Amino acid sequence: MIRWVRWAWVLVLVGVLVRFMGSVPSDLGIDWASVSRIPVQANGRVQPMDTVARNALLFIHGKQSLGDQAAMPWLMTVMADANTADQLPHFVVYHSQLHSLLGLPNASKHRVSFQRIEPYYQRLIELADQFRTVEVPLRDAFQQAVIRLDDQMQLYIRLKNTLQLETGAQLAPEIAAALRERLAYFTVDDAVLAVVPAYPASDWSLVNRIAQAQRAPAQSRVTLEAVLNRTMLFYQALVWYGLVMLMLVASYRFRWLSAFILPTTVWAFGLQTVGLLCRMIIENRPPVTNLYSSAVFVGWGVLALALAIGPRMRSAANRSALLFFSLCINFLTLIIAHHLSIQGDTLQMLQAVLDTNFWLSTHVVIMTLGYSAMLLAGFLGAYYVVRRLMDRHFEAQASDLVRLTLIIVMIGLSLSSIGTILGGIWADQSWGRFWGWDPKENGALLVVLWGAIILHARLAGWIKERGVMVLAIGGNAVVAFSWFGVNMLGIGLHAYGFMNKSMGWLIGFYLLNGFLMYLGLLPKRFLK
Amino acid sequence: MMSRIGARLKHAFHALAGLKIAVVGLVLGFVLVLVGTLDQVNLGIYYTVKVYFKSWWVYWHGWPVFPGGMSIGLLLGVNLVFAHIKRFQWSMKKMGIWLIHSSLLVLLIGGAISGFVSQESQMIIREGDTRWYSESVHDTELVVLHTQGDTTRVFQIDMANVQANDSIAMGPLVITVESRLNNAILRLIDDANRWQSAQGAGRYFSVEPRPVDRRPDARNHMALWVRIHTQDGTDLGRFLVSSWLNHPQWVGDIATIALRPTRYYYPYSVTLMEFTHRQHPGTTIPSYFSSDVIVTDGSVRQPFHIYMNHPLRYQGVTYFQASFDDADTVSILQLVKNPVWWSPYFACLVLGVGLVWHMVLMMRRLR
Repeated sequence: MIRWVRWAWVLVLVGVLVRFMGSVPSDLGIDWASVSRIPVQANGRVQPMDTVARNALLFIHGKQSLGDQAAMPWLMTVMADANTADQLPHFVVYHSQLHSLLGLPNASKHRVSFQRIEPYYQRLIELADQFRTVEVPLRDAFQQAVIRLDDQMQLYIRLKNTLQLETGAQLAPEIAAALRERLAYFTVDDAVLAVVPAYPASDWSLVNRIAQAQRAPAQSRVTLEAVLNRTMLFYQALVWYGLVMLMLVASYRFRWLSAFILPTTVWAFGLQTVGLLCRMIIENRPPVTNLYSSAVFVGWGVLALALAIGPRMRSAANRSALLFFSLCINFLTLIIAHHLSIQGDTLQMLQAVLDTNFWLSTHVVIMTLGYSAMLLAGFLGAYYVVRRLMDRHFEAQASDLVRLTLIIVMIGLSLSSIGTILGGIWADQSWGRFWGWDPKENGALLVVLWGAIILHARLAGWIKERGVMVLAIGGNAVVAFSWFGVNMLGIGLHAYGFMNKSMGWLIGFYLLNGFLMYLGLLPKRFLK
Repeated sequence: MMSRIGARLKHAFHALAGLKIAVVGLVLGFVLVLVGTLDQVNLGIYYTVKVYFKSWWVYWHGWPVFPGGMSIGLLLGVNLVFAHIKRFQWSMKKMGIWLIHSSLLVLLIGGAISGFVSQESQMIIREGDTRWYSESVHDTELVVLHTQGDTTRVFQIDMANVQANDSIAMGPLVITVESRLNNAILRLIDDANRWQSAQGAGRYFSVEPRPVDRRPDARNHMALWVRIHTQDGTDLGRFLVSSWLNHPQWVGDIATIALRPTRYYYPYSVTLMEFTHRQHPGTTIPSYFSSDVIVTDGSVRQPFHIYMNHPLRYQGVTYFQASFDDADTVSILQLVKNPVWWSPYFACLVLGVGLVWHMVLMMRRLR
């Protein structure tokens, strides 16, 4: 019986994938699948128009859709029907000072249209230009909000002027063309420009004819990217991972649920792997090229590690714990990846110094897998500490778990050391020194030192099982510092992965791990 | 008596070879690297390295509060060596661990040597120009150029070795440093306020001190007031020298004097033929930098193409594409002279072999 239900469940999983692959907007009877596939040149690479639409809407609105309007129809409205687009409430304004600047009533956030902002735009530009002279780490929330809104307005205006020049004045054709070329957000085949009169005039069949003639061939990177965009493999995987975590918890009570855990995990892992492979094909690069892809890959690595080690473990309880926490990390890193994707194109071209597939596929991949292992060990440490609080006999029976954690730390240490040395060699080849005490290098060294401290302190007999687990928790904070923390210092040659928000989250994560370590240090008499 | 000393030595040896020293060293190293990284926000990389990593002690308000990078490195190095001596067994089982730790030793020793002997400088060349020297980014030198007939002799002294009130004999001149500012700007002064007491460029400028800029790519400009005598004691007057003043100034008509970024000379010359800077289409993200140079060594002229991740190695000096200037017409090459540049490559190889060895053994044991 359960076998049949399991097969039915697999069918559901496949069905969801198929549903996502076919999820094309149906507005107005336009062939949006073809429109999405039109290749454009933006951000230094050829990409489907759909990617521009999604990234632009994500940047302006914070989401990949505006109400029930999908990104592609939205972009078409912006580019071809500016009058309508100017009234769309897609700008999200947060800061209260910015509200008063724009004459908005006080509220936590407002969704406003271009038309609403336009009277204040001159003032906004002046302020933004002033604030840009402040060094990035020193900008306060209001300054950031003003600059952000100005960036969003600029992007919007450039998008509006991509296919047509939006001006009342009569310009000589060559001047108009030159001006449009400067303002345009992307370049595209001139045949596509004809959609501008057709779209506002509701001539859908002409729009469709243009799109079908101009769309990228079926077997091309552009088409693959358009399909990857709407399939949202990482998002699907995220949802399934969340569900499996719930199943794992619930299966303590409802045994039959455990039959679905492995198939769902493997399916979601497969989706994530295919997503990574597609990105590799589109970019013609190894899996990790920027902060976004490192987040996806760290999570993937954790789960891969857990799936490889899990079957070798004797205790079923530890197997579930290993799976649960690897899913947990993967879930969190995918959420982090989502937030990083709001900053812009996740397949962006690389800076000259990074333009080497050899080092990206060795140093970067190995380093990132090292993070994966240390994080997995850290989460197992947290599990140990919390279980110990709830069950005072847990400590005695956990030696298998500790042994597993030590092995994972050993793997993490090996990967981090070899990755760090490879990184030094790369640095030697591109900057002329093996080691320059750059923050990112120091971060990697800290991970190596922390791993070495755990292993040697255990060998020296200074710590026992509990000590290993408590120090492993510290590994979480060390990895977070090395991965994100040093980027926020904003110094050094490695500072290309810069981010100024999320500082609060990071500090929260340090504090949480510190607190867990403290809990782990509580003597037995405090336990229940 | 002798045996007691022997016993103590043996005890010390065992302690130094022990794991506990290793853990202490690792923990100290962790704290040092963490604090040293965070302090880069205030100090910048260059000064952090001086204060934390290339030092025996870290000073705080004049007190040595924490062992510096060199002390900790030495501690870990000694520990590694002694542990090797004490524990080394020629067995297959220990081989992986042994290789892993020897690679770290190679890395530590290589790092220490290159820390002392490696020399970094920059060669800034305009397209079509030729250079036979490079310049330091951080160090300044005082030079006296003494021309007799066809030959010019250069007398130079590194300013790191010069204090205020020092008297230095340089060729035909004796230079006494009256005051020294590590960072200063020069301002032209009008006629009425002209320094009557000064000779040369010092007559035309007032010197304003500036705080030393510790940001990594900042350049500080030193300024010195010096009094110059000839070797036989004739007073030639008071002079202002500064790295702001591009050209050497005449002292009497005996020699010229200048303060400039420390130069390193080479027995060959480098000519920049072309600098290339490409960007990804439609963006300002750089996709490619390169310098086409010709190295002229005696009668041999060799062309080289230097680009990102592909430096030129010539006679023990490595040339890297570092930066550019002046609308892509000036290329800035980073020059590094490091005789042990190969040590990390070797260490990486040994570490790789050791890790694989150990992993294979562990896998066998798990099965």
